Amino acid sequence: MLRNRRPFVPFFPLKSIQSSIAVAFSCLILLTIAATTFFSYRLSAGAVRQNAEIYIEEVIKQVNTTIQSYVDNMENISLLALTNKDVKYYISSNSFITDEERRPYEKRISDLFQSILYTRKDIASIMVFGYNGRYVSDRRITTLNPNAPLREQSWYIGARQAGGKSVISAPHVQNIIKDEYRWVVSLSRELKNTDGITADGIFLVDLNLSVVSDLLRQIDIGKKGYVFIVDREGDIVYHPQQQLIYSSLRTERIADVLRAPSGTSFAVDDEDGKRFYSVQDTNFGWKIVGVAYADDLIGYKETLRNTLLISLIGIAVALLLSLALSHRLSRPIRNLQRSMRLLEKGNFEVKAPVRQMDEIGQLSRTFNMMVGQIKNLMSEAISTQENKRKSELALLQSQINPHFLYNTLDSIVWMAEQKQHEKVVLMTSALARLFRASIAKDRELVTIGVELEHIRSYMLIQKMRYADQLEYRIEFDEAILKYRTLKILLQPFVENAIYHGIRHLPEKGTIVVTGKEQDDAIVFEIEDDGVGMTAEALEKIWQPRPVEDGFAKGIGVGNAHERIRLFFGPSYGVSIRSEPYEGTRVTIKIPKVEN
Amino acid sequence: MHNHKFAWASILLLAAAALCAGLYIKLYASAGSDGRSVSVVLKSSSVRSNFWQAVSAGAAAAAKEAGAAIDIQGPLEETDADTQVRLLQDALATRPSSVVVAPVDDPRVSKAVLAIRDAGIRVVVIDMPLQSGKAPVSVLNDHREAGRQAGQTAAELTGGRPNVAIVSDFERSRVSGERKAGVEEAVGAYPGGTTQIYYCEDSEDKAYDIMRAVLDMPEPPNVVVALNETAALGAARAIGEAGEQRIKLIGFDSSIYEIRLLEDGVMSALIVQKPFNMGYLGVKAALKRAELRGARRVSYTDSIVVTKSNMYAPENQKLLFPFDGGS
Repeated sequence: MLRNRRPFVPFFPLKSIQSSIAVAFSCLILLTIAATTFFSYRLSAGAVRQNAEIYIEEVIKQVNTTIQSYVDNMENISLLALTNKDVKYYISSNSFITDEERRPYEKRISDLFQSILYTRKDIASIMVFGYNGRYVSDRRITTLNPNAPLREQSWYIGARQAGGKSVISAPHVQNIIKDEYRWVVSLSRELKNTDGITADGIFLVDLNLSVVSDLLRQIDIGKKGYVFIVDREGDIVYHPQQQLIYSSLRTERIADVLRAPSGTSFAVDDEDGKRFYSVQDTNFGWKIVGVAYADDLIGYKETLRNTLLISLIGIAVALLLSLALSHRLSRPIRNLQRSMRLLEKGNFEVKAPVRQMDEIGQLSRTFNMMVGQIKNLMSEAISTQENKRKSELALLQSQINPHFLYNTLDSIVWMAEQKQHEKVVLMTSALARLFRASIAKDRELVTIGVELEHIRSYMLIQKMRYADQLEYRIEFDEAILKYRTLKILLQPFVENAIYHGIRHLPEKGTIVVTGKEQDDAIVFEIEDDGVGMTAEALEKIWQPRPVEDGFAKGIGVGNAHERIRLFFGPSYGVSIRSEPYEGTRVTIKIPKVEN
Repeated sequence: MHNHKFAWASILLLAAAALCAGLYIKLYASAGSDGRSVSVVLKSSSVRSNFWQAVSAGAAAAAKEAGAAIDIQGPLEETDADTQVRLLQDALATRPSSVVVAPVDDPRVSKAVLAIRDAGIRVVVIDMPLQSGKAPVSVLNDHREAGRQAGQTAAELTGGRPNVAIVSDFERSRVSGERKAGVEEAVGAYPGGTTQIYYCEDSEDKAYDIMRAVLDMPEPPNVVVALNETAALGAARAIGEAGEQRIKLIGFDSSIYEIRLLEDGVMSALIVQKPFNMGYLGVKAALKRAELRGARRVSYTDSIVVTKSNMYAPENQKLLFPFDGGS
């Protein structure tokens, strides 16, 4: 049931530690900056919003004050009419003014209204309607619109119902005067008799709506921002897009506005965009509402731009920094890696630089120690191996061929039978010398003099055996005798020359053994004029000899060569030149080793 | 190895830069005016034309709402095709993002509009369709529907027995043709409903004469539908002079004279269009980036029937009495 667990694959399959660190840093930094930017944006956006709200609130307050002042002015005008004796008498129900006396009253009232109108450009008209059927306006001649019955006008009805309090109408078309259709806001008020109880008529002041609409249009709350007014019931008093609202092409948040207390604001975020509503109540029942779009407010944009710009720079710097840091941090690792790669290639001389004693420094140090250890172990192993081989080879070389021994002893017996006593003595002593050299195991190196003695003894024995076949010469420079050489170095080659070169000759063969100085080295040569070898045969003799009956069949050229190189280094050794039916020359080169 | 690292670094940096640049541009683009602009070429820019002033106000309102720049132009006379063609060419030269046009009924205007469309500028036709050529997106006055409303009102005023005299201006006028067709359609739906068409050639006196002649008929019609203001004023004069109250007059559009007739009771009903809405919807359509698949390319603005009783209702006041304060 256990599923094969896949090997762990890192999220970022990155090749180097540096890129891992860089990516990790970058992610971290990006995240941090994003978070910081987000929060600082939220904070500053909040501040901007607050400022915007305060600003809109101020603007709307200003509008409120201005509209209030218009209304107050209308109110004052109404008070003026209310307290004016002429007006009072003129519309009084128990009027003592006869129709003949009417004219001067009318004129005085009209003059009063006119003078008010001159000073106030915002007022469209001022009128008084008495319940006694009389009316006066600011004009000399007032013709009422026959199609607009007074008692059906909403401002008239409103004022009667309010009983002495002033009533502000919504903007409407005033059609009470014939042939005049003006957009106005009306203030109407019932006028009381001098007794203060019975009512005598209605007073009307009309404010030009253009005054209000101009004011609202001039308000600057962004490109798309606007101001609208609703009354207590939520009916729109003024809205720049009133027709669209009537046609249901647009909706306005009137319910929210009605719920909002004066001097507060609320935010709305829908498909039309985020915007702030700021609400102010007037004391005559209107609610003035300013609407500002969030993206319209200059501060908003600036804040956003600045926040983003700063975070942009921040991110750029941070990314560069993270790259530099990761480079810096991963450098010792890379150095160590480089050293390790060198070690891999077999260079035991490498040394990882240790700059500081941090983890990587310690690692480098341990690495260096390890490399040293390995190097020591390696050389130890090599020398052990060499020594082992050396002694092996030495042993091999010091062995005396039993056939040789047998043959020599046979020769001695034969000579003794012949009563050739002197020869017997000579050969036996030569054999004894030969043995002495072989059994001198204590030292590997002997003087060339000893070696000369050895080769002489050997040659003497062989000469005595093959007297009619073998001729030999031994020529050693006197100067080299003091130097040292490996013991029993030459004998195998001489043996080879006899058995393989000379013995098969039909006539007598000659072997010349020389030893001389050559520059810094000593060179021995064993030269014979025997049968010689072909190139293939020459090739063959370099191969190691198989061991038979515990004895190597001859020491072997390869072994001798190896022995020299083990002892003296790779620049020394054996070289052979051979020509079939011409002879063979073996050259052995060793260094000058003094005592 | 090194190249690798620097590739990584530069990719990261570029990605970050691209991200920020993207955000920045988006922010820049979404805030502000978008750089969009609309050129509006109306039939008339005369301040005396309440209708076109209301269209203009609606257009401006839509542009403000969208935060787009707007330029509103128009010849002084509604029939001045030459000037309108020139204005259209000027508009093309400024290369706005879209053009809204209320075309004069003239093939040259159609050609100029199509040239703008071919230049890759979004074109929206308002009021009336182009005389020739395939219509781009349009927001039109539904004159036929207005005619139907007039016919329906005529039937209601006569207790379902409309005998209608239609006073039109010219036979070739497309607006009047549509309205007439609408009236005939609505009246024809009533049993015994009849219509008779007269052409006053845009002369008040001629309309007056026609009306006198109609009133002198032994069996005068019980409703007169005057398809434009001139016809309505002439007919109203004749009816007023005759003191004939049995005959009902239905007019189109709104002018101060017609309103007065409505108040006086001579005019029984006015069919009033919504020019503000037309301008608003026209510009709104122009500022849309593209039509949704399957969306209607032609939309209509409606009309309302205004009578003496509802003429001072808040929603109708704004239509009848244009107010320079915007809407």
